[in-house]
Amino acid sequence: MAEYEFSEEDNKTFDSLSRALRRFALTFAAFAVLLAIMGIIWIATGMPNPPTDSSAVEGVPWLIIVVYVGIPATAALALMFMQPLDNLKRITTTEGQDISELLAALGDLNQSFGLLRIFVAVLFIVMIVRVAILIFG
Amino acid sequence: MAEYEFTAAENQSIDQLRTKLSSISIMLVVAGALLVFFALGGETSQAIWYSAIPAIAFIVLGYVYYRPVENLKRVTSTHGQDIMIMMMAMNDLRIAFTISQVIFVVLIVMAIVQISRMLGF
Repeated sequence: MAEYEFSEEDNKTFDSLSRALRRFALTFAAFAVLLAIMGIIWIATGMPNPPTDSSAVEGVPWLIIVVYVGIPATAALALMFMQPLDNLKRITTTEGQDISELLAALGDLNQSFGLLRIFVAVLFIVMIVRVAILIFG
Repeated sequence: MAEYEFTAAENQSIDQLRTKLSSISIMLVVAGALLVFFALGGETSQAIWYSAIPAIAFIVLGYVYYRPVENLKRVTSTHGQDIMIMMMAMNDLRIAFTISQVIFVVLIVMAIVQISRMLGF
């Protein structure tokens, strides 16, 4: 079967999707940079483990988790969500391989959401543990 | 040009993405519901807001990530209108990314304030 060619209107949708995806990825990148700056300040000022407050589970070093897990996690998400951008751009700028490019972009998105799902699952488990601690002490 | 019909292998790739989006949206909605539980148990107004805002954010995120799931399912389960439905799913994804970006910015600002307080700034 010959490759399907997306219409001008479809291409506009892909362009909009591409822009939204780029901003979404850049938000993760900005978050990673902010966490890195905070981590540097934290280390430079020689702060001990942060004190727990009423909303934290006693004994869990939240800041260490946020900085040392948060930075690589958000940076990885930023990079992963940038991956489909090339293919999305090629859908609108090339001819004769639109479906192949779309499927490649969907494949990249599938991997990105796979990583995001891991982080959401971790967050989900942490929240379940917190609820269990609140209920059962 | 005649309507394109995705092959079985292509449908499988689309299904994998749909499954991931579906599980993410379910976890986000449940996490949001759990945060409502925390908000209700908050002792100070600040504690309530610090649970209520993420709760609303998670439930909204869960909803916007579920929107493309339905259309991606229709792409793989129906015949004759694959491209039209795929474009609807792409539009849903665009909306999901845009809303997520706004919500993440709000959550990032909240996280910065909270971390700054923990650092004693």
